[in-house]
Amino acid sequence: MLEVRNLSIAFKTRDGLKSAVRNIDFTIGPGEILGLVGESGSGKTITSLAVMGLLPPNAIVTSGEVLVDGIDMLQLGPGELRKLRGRHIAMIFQDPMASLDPIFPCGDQIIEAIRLHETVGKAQARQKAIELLEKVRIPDPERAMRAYPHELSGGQCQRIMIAMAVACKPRIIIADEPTTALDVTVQKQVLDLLRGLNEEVGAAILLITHDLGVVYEVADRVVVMYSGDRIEEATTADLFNNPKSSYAKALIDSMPTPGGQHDRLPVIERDALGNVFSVRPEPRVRSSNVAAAPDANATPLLEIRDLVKSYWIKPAPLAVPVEMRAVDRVSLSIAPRSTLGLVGESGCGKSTLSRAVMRLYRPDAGEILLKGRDIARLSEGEMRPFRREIAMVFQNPYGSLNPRQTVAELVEAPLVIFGEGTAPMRRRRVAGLLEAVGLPAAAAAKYPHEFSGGQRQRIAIARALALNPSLVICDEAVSALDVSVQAQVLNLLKDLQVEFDLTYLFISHDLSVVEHISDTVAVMQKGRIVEYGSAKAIFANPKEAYTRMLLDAVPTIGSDRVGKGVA
Amino acid sequence: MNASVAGALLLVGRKLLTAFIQLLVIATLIFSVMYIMPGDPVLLLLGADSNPSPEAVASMRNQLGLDQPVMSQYFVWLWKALHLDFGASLANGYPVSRYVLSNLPRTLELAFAAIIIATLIGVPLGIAAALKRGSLRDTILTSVATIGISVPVYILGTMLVLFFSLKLGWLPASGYTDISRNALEHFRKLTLPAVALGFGLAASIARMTRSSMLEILGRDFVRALRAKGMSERRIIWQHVLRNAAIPIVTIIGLQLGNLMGGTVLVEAMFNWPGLSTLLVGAVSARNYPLVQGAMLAIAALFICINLLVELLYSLLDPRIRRKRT
Amino acid sequence: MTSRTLGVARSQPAFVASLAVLAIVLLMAIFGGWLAPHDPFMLNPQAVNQGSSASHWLGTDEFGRDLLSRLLIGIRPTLMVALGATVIAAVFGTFLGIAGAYGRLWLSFLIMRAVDIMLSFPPILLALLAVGFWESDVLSLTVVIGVLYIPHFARVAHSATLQVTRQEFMEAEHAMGASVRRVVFTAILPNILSPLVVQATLTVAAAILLESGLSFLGLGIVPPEPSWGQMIGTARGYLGQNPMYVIWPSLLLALTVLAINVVGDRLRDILDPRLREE
Repeated sequence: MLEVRNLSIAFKTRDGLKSAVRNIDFTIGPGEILGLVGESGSGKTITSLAVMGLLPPNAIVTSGEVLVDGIDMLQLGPGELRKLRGRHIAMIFQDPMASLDPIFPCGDQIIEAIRLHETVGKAQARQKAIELLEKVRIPDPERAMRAYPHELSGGQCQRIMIAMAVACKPRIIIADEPTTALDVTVQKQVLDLLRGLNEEVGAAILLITHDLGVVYEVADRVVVMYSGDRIEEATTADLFNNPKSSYAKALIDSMPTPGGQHDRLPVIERDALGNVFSVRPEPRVRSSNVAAAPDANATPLLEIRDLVKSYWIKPAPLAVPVEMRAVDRVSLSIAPRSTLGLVGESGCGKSTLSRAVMRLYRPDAGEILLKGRDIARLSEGEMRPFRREIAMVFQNPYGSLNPRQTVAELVEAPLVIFGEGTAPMRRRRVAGLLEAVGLPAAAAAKYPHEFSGGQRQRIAIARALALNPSLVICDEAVSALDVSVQAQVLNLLKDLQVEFDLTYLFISHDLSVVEHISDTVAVMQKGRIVEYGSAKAIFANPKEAYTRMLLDAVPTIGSDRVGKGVA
Repeated sequence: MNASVAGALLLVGRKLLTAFIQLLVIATLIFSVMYIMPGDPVLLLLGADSNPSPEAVASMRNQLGLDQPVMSQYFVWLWKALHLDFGASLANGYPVSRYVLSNLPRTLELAFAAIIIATLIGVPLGIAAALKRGSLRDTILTSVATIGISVPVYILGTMLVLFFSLKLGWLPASGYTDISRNALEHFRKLTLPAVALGFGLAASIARMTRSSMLEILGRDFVRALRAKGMSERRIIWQHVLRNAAIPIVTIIGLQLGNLMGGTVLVEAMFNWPGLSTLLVGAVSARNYPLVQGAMLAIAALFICINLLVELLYSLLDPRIRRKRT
Repeated sequence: MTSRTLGVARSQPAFVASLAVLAIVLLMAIFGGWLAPHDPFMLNPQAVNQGSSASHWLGTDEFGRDLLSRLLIGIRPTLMVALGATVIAAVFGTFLGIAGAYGRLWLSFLIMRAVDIMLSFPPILLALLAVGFWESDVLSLTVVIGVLYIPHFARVAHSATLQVTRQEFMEAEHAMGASVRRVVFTAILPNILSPLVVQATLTVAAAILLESGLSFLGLGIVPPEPSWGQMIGTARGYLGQNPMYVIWPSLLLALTVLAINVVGDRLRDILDPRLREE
């Protein structure tokens, strides 16, 4: 039905053509779900845009055909192409909010989509739009019709995009990272919806994602891409049980999976010939041989008692502000040299909690005991000695490093702020830290933009360690990274914990990552800790309904937990 | 529904209040600036060269209320200004408000003619350039627009006079004819100053229209509309333009300051008897009440137009109209 | 190096030409008096309002003074005012803008409301008021125009700082316990430099326009000292007799402002990170 043959795409640059995608082949049959998997830069999105005839002006197709029911899309004129789009092939995008026109109500946009390809009256189209919204299970479709995109949540916007995509019963739906911007539980709902519509409408789906879990759960067949090349194509079951290419194998291996407890994650390496393979690195040996294991009975390094932080929001323009507790009587404690994983969906208050501990905000009530001393009410000046003890690694490796400073300046910043050491001493310290996080010494003179995301996160980690802190808060520190890079950074964090006697407060929305790295886990929902205990206990036997729901929603590979079979 | 109506009312109310406070602050500034300026208006009025007697100075002071304490002078002035009473001109004793009210509509007419010309030229040219980005047409239009924002209004005005009045003799070089006396002559005399004033604005509107069109064309939702199978023409006219209108209206609003500044020069060079002519004359003659009245009128005019632009802006953008804060 | 310069010249002819124009204008401002073929102030009642001739290449003005010589020295006061005013506006405006975005709540409220009010008034009107009552010379014009453009700079610095403060590295600085001084000088200033540079070029152009506008009205640079704006204003009275009298200073002034704007546009393209990605 959709057949992509020998497709190659290149970008026009100042130095001539730069190849982006080479000789891609795949087909999708009626009613099939094909997963297109790859890390960032693998060319999966550009392939999907080529299929829609929506390539940006600086990209050109150098060879190949895109056959839709035997017609080559690449040979069609704009008018004919337009008739196919929307009616024959529809597309769902990654950022649902940005994909809707912000100044029209959602209902008008769905009606518009219907009337583009069907000659029906306004009233009829409206009726159909409401039916579609019911079909994508939006609560209160009448209200959603009237609402502007910014008044709806990301999940609801994606449902509207899906409603629009299926409006004219297309034969093929291209979904480009449709759930990446959404929370796990919402992701599960949207994926279920897509699969349901696939069965009901009979449309084939091309599902583009970086998330192997999503593919495992939804796709019938998978095409794996790596830096513009098709590496492997197989049925989902075959791929996960018996990957043929070493890259696919490495990719699957490097994903932390719930239930699969390893000390170290395998990472992907390339040898001199460019072949990819997976290695499971050995833990780094600790310089001093006194191995200090985490001791659950020791006095906690950090103890939080009944911490409260509120915001005041106005529900309506003229209403009295109401209190919104972002952090609601939270109590936690972390033993020295252990890792506490804090999990929750977006908006649950986990970031607010971390910033309160960092004392970037003053909490409204409660205590934060660091090594037994309450820092919740200290002034900025009194707080200063404690700032040495706590360091933070942020989510966005692009935003957390000042782009105008060299790596050396960035890493030595804490030392400079605390007036520590002379310039040569600081230089030696920077060199030592860069080595510890696995960066070459030459990195010191470069600027952050010269590094990849994973390397930047290493720079951020080096900076965090500059003053030998005891507590490191990692706020979604690996969320923005590709799976294989994520594995490397997680391994590094584990190594450093042993080497530098670190205690981690590890915040993430990703349950698999948290399970992999944590000793204890706290699950947060709407500002409260709903479940708290050892990682093993929580993941093996979750007590709270919410925890179970979160665990259920995580798309996992080959997990024997909670009735997951091959789709 | 109810909440959004209340929100809209609140927005309008807040903007009105802000505008009023702005005007009040400016009034205070104008008053104090006049007060700290050198030169004694009384001596000026009586003629400094004629060496007026101290008694005459004192009685004049008393007559003008200048012997009162500053604060009471200020409040009296403010109170009167609120009732459009700016005192009497030092030159002939006529009420300042009469001058202001007769000249205000003329400036308004000039400014609006310029805005209309600028919008009618600038917006279509900006769209035309954006739709063919990188083409010869785009290059030419962009260059002309850059020249347009660079040529000072008085140079353009002089060139227009040189060409259309002196060389071709098509239009009068300067002056003003009341519309009730001779409507044709009125508009003939309006043409050159309005074009001179509107040209630079047209250029900056064209530049802004082009860049906001390009910005919107690069947004995700445009790609999504294409994926829906909508025609390029419909995407542009129904979606891109409507979105681009928001920044375009903003730039027109922001450019109004330059426009009002431009009227100073344009009115002076075309002998257009508007507020700025009044002001420039009053400043040269140190006619304090007239300066205060004219300044305040210009400020009020400017603030009112700004208010209108901001309300239009929030009407266009649902994200502002229905913001929940 | 040379081949790259040539490449730039070929791909950006307008930009290179503008840089050349600005270089010439700058040289005129510095060496203009030295280059002048005649004494720019020497009256000659026998040769008023003449067209170009062998002795007076561009003709003479209404007092018979050599136009070319007056044009050559006429840019200096304008340029001094414009550059001086830009420095004043940049220094104070940037400081106020950063304080408005990063300072305490009441302070930023005060600053930004004051900026809004100043911005709601066309600069030329305030300049008119100031120079109308004070004696106008280069220094007072510089100060007045500089002060008038402070709010424009403050607005730009303010919004740029707000953008920077939303970035995670600002949080990282706070988390490390950085002092206000360190945050302002290492985190904020280097990161808002690009829009400030662009704003500076715009301000130079605007200040030239404002000064020449005032001089055009007869309220700026005081005769007999020439400035281009003032020459245009005077020449308007002799449009019939000697049209070239008005055209030469107009051409030079428009060309200068155009060159600054072209350079400013190009700088914006180079410095704007969104455009750099392409």
